[in-house]
Amino acid sequence: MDSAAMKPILTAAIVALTLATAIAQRGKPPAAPALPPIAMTCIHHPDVLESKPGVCPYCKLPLVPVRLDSAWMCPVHTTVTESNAGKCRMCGRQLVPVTVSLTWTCAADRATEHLEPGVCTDGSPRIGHRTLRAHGNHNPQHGGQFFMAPDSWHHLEGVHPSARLFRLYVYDDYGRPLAAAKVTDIQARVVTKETFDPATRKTTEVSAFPLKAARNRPYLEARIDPSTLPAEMTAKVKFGSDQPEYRFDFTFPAFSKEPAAPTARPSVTQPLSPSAAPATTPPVSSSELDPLTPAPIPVSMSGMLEQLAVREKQVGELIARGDFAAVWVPAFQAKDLAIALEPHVAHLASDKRDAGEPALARVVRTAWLLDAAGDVGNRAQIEAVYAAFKSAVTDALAAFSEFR
Amino acid sequence: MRAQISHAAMAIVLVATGVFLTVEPGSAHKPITSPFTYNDDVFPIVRDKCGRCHVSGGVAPMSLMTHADAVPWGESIRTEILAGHMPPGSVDEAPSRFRNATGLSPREMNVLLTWVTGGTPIGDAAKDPKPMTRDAAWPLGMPDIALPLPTESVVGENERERRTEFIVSTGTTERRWLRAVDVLPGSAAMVRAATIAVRSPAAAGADAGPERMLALWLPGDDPIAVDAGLGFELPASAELVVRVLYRKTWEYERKELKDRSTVGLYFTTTPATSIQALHLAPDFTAVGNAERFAFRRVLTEDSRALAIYPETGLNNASVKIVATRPDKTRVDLVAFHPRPDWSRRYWFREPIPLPRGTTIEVTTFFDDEAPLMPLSLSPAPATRPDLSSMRLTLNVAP
Repeated sequence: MDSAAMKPILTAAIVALTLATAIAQRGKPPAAPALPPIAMTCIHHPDVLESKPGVCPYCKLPLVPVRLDSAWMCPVHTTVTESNAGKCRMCGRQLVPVTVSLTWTCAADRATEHLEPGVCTDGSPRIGHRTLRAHGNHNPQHGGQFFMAPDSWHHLEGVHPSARLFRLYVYDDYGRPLAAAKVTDIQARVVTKETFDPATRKTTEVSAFPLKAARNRPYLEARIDPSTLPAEMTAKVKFGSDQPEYRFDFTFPAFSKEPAAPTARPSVTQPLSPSAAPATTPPVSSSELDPLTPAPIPVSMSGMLEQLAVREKQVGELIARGDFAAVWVPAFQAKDLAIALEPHVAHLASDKRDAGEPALARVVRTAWLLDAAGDVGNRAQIEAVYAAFKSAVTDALAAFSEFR
Repeated sequence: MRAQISHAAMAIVLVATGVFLTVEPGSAHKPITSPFTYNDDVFPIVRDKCGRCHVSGGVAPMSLMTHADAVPWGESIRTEILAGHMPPGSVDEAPSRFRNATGLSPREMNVLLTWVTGGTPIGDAAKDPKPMTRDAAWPLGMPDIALPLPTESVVGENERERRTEFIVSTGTTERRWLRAVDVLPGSAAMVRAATIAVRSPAAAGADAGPERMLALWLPGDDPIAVDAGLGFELPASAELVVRVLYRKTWEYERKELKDRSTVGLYFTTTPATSIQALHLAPDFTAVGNAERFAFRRVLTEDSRALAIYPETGLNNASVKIVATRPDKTRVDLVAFHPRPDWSRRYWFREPIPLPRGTTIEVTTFFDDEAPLMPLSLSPAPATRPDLSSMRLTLNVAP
């Protein structure tokens, strides 16, 4: 299944059950729907996010309050942000999830930003605004694959529009295209064929093509040897002469296509209502689990174990097809299953308990590592993490084998 | 803290706020507040698992005992947990087999990682934990003999680390047996590790007797009292050889620190069976390479395995020790990562019978976890240790 084309829905039923899980975890009901909480951030370092007043750990300036929220933004018309998923009011493209800060102003005093809605001195309601935040947009904007660089600032999108062409869009931490002058500072090449000698751990590039800044275009581009699909290629990028070289492994199951606008304007998107949730959740068969959709934790131990095995396989399949950014979904589902299994370790025989307890901890740890590795798009790294994850799941399933 | 917003928290908070969204593959770093808060969820874990060192006045470079203390170290907490470095001293297999194998449970690990990546919320301010300070007391109660180190140690303002050896006379007049040995740091902020060995004093014209290890002390560890009927033998007029590693944290840069710690000895009430040390080291049977190195030793007496500890610290290595009895039954003794300066004696919860003829096999592996870590966390490649340098000691009783 092509994940880029998938629109998996968190069904109301699943949401209801997950909500019950969240309540159980916390031991108390969640807060009523309300404004997102206020956090403290630095005006110069927006990725600094604290829950209390203080100073920025980088520049020592006092932190300022900010109210962060999830929103949906048009990948082309960035002024279009909505509260709910849907399509762009201007072009009909599918909205993408982003992180925004919420502020409110009055028409008579637009310079003064408030963190709450309210009433202006003239009696009119304050006007709400959404502003894109750093790391708020990790979505491909040109139909390609999107990764975050290990420096946590640069973001890249690899695009393979045709058999002989590879493009690399480079963005900042807000998901904004890098200025053309900065693009020219980047030293990069795309490698379409290389060999690896496990004995010497040496990689030899067989076919590599320099990526050059395209004239008047916000990307780097290389003409490559004709590819066959699915096409695997690696961008090796230095963001400055004194910077380390980072590796980004792309897999293109099909040629990349720019998000297309439909011919007809879409109808107004109707936000889903919590009341749409059904009263009960039908059990989900493990064989029917969608890799990109969280599912309820089964009640039975055999159901948990069966689902854990399926999630492990799904992680492997996503990695095999290069869909690294999606790996966190089944990995975190596996992690939640491991946590749900933890209390049942006490039911195991001592030798099985000895093996099962650390295996579950390894599942949790490696699931978090998969989450981190999936963001940065290095195949060797994510495969190494997956090997550890798979080993942990295998050991956990073996420990609980009598309950399968 | 560089906020790395978790995917898991995203799903939970969207649900909790009644927002229904589709999940797009590839989305990351959502502005989600962790459902776990410091006061409700995180503090009980860090208090129990980290609070002996990460407390004001403790040996760790930062306290984690208040929300304000912990928040700036969120990314470090994440890194240390993902690397498996903290809490130190955990075993890789069967923690319940030991009396003193620390570690985080799956739930605890998930709570901490979710919290540090999910906005580090404080929770109900009314539940702020009371300020904690290091508990400067003997965990086993007052020792039978408390022996202050003979001299004060000074770590100068331009020094970060110092290793000092002390010879301490016990003043005992007859053979005794010890059920436990402990150290009470004088300056807890820099007493990073200590070993206490015993030897007979040098007779006229002769060297002192061989050393036998009594205790490996690490900050945060409670001493383990051996089972009744067992004890470490202490000869009359015995000397203790105390080796202390002092290490200052960044909080004490450019400052001089002084220490005069005290060694506490706890005697058995009656004569006991002496605990023996069985050294495990490579011999002519050793085989291996840079990836894996193995050696074995065959027991010549019926024994009960009580504890095991590494004499060598190795980075990027793991050790697995297996006993195979003459009847072919196999016992996994321990698997762990022997980190330098974190040498711990792992005490088995129950003595493990090992008949004469049992083969103890030690296998050391190159364990390069560097590729597992996100590049932004650990860009340096792992250095390869000399696996053949591994030495261990198995404490046994007849």
